[in-house]
Amino acid sequence: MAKRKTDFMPDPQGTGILSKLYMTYQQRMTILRWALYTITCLVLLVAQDVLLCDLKLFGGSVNLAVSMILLICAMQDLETAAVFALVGSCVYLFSDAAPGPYVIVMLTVLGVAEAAFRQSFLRRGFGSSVLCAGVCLVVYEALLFGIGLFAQLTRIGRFWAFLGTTIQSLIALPLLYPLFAAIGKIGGKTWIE
Amino acid sequence: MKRLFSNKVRAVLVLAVIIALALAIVNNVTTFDLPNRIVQGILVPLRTGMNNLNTRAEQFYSYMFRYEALVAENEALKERIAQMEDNARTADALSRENERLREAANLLEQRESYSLVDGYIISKNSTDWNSILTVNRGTSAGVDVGMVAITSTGEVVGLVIEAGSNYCQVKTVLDSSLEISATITSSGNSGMVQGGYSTGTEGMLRMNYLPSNAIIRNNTQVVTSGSTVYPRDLVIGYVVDAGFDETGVVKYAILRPAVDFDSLEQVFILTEYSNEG
Repeated sequence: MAKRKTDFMPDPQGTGILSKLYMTYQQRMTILRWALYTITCLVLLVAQDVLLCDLKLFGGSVNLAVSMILLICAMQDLETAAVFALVGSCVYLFSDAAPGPYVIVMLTVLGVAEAAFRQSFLRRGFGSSVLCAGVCLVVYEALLFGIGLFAQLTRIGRFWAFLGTTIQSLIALPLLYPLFAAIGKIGGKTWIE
Repeated sequence: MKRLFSNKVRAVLVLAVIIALALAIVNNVTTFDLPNRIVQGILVPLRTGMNNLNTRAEQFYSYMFRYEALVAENEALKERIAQMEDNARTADALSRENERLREAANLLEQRESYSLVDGYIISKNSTDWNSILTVNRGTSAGVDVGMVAITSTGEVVGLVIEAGSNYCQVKTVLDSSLEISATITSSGNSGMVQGGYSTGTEGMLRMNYLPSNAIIRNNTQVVTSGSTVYPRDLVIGYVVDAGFDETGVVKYAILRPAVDFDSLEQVFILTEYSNEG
């Protein structure tokens, strides 16, 4: 039967590339949030290499990269933290600031562990995030020192340098939290405690 | 029983182990460094920019808060210029004399065969046992992996271990994984120099495998022996201590690096040299 002009005509379905690229408001905010996280991490990583590398305590300088990765993981849900820890540790390694590929495993496992613990037992906030990140930071530096001793890359007398790095990195955590918390608020809460 | 982690989290953990193992194997077997180049390609312009900002900020601070000191420094510099102008007047005669000495000694003639590329340090990266500098010159300026970085006065800074188009990374002599064949100038005894982190002398160098009858005096100069990588007679450091190693068979010497790494700003990459002569 022939169609009449008054028959219902459905809107054409978008099949072009522009319609496929359409994003919801929430998706755009999520991309903006992670873009800001990325830029902030890169700028702080460079600031560490250029400005903070000469600031020594007991012979050790601050390790902002690890502080940032662990703090952001503590502020995210478990799955996001796992992916971020993996990607962040890879970038940290490829920036040539990390001591070896084993940091990928160490940071990913610690990031997942702290996110799982915090999500299970604590509410997201300043105290819980800084506490979890701080504990993992101490564990990371202790493991790194242990690996260094085991591989004979360092010696027991260098303990104070590792302590200096740990203390400075711990001090950086509460200072970094407001920055990452502000970025984390973009797009609203993505999950409910 | 409820599972602790979702499949996605488990997959990420497995992936982390696989990536780490793969990178450990790849780093030991090949020289593949594409991911490093990509990340450095992003970081190097940022480092250069921040370095420039830092320099400007220091200049501004000096201008604002160290005016009187700058005036005094300016006066001192004027005096130095006057002295240098005086020196320059006698330079021609000294230069001719120096030219004759060069022909006699052949030492500096060898250095004339050097081809250098200068670069500024844009970041210093050091973990406990690594010491790496990033310099703002790369393959586009003729720099390549395996070239030696020195100071303007011919002191060894380190070895280029990675070169991108606009940057290179120099592993310094302080790095305990870098070994240089070296000679004590006064006695002619040879040994291997490496960074002292793993031997309890951080910030210093250690010269190993010296013969037990070697005569080692404090403040003696230690220079490169010359190899396919390092030219001869580049200054590495000065002896500050010596003794027998753990075996009691061979001696070692502790060296103070010739380069002051805290104040080092500019390096020269040796792109060509000749050990002949």
